[in-house]
Amino acid sequence: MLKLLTGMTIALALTTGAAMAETKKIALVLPGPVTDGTFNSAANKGIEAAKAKYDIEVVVRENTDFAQIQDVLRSYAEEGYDMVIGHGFQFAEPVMEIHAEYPDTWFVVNTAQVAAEPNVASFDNRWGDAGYMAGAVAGLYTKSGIIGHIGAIPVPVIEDYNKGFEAGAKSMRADVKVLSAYVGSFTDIARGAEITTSLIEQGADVVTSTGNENVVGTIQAAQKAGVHAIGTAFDSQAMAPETIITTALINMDVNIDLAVGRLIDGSLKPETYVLGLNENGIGLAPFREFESEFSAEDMAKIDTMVDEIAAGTLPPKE
Amino acid sequence: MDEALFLSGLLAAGIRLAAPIALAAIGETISQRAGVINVGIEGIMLVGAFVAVLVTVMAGNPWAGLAAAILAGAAMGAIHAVFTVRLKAEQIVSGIALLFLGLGLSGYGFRLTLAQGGSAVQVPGFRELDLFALSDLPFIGPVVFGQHALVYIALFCAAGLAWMLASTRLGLMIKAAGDYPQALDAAGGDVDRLRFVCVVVSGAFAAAGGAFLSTAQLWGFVENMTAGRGFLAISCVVFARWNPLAAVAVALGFGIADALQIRMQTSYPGVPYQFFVIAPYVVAIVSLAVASKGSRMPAALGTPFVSQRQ
Repeated sequence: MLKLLTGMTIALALTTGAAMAETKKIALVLPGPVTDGTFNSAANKGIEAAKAKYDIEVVVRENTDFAQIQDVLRSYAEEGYDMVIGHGFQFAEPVMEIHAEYPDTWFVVNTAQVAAEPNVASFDNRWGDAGYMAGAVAGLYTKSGIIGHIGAIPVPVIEDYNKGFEAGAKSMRADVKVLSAYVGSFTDIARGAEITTSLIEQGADVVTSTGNENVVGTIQAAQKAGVHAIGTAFDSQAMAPETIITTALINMDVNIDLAVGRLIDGSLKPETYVLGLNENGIGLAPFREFESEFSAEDMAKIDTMVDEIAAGTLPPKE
Repeated sequence: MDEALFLSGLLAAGIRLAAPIALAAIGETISQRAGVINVGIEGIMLVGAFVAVLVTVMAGNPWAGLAAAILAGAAMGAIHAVFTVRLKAEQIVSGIALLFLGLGLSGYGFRLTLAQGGSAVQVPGFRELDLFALSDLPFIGPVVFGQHALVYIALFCAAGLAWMLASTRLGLMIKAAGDYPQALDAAGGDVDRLRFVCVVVSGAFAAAGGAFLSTAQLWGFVENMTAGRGFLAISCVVFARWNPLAAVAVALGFGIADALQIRMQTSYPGVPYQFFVIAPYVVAIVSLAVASKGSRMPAALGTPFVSQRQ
């Protein structure tokens, strides 16, 4: 019996060993659940697409607390994963601390700007540009002249988006008033909704939100109050078709596709890849039913703005 | 902005934020009065929130969802009761297990059902009532006449239970089960049966609180959407000195503090937002410190009871 078991274990080890030579093993580590409808859902969709496209073996780990990150990264590296993707800027610090011990594993951090020889790369999206586009649309659409941004917690990418949103709105309508508030949590959907309601009571008629589940709260509050919202990261227009004008897309699937593709063809370098409009790392979702509510002149303004962002002349540098 | 409008918006938001906490606190009061602490109500709230959404979507009616949530909550309460009352297990440990059970069950159930399609489902949830067609009255209209049905039900239940505890035989027996179960036992009462029922009832209330979150305040479920409200409910119980009506008042105070910090944030953009976010918790800690001086905790709270009768 023991012999049989040993034999089977060796056979198993041999087959997986042979498979490993070709099939790359990739771990995606997420801070939240894949059902959040925004930041984590987008990453999960990306890895699913990559799984269909490349010869890879994938494991997705959800709900990873900050305190667990180092241990989780180490365990994947020790199990021989070829690439570990940390989804969020909070992975940067733990990755920098441990990467040198595991030279055979690539560590990739999303929405951060870190890089180190020989095996740390990062993919960051231009959240500021995405916010600028959202702000411009909000500035053109608002009737009351008051718009609002509800962020989860002021982490760098959310602050970039917030700044972009205000600048974009003012570029279209100089007298627009931009309200801003923070939930203090990525998951507290009810408080996200109440904060949004308070901005609506102060006159805001177009709102936008960044974070994880809290974004759903903002969209629902806007829906109940009969005002409009601009989604972020993930096109969830089907959730509230009469409410969501458009979505400032953060295309996480592009980040992941690039990381995996470059790993497989060997072109991944230890550097930061910043993905803007030209790289398809961000974008503006279709306006759908709302297209008819913008005048031809306004649509032309939006097109020009998008072109200028792609060309790098917008948003204005500070 | 107009002050009256600001105030009525503030109060309405405070009530919405308070309602789930108040419902859970009412249930926890009854359970603790009978001598069983349930730190797992957060998990029960999550199960209630999920079941309410699922059944509301399937049946097309939020009342069906609420009823199903209450049943699910009672079942979760029964699990806690079996361990703590029948098997005399450590109450805190069983409660923590219940918390994680609820977190896992609701998240997994959500993925197996509503999250399958990939896109969000429309939930035909509760709408605010318009009692006597008076919700358009300036200022008091939305606050007094324009709340969700569950808010009025919670108030009614809290008043009824407060009266029950203070002036009925059943109330006296529940208090005896929590304060001096030996006396109840000697008088021929069944301590364990009474405690069992109270724990089941506390589960039902917690689940109703979860259902308020997911089908009234919001229309939809996300994992871990209670975000600590179950624990706030427990602190409300302590601060309210184990009185269900006072627990509702404390929850309301907390909700209004939260609604106020939300509004202060946009009025004073120069102040770091963290100061505002912590405000309700500071209120809770300070008031707990003040209130705990004269606190009168049920004497046998947390202690399993073993009958001496043969």
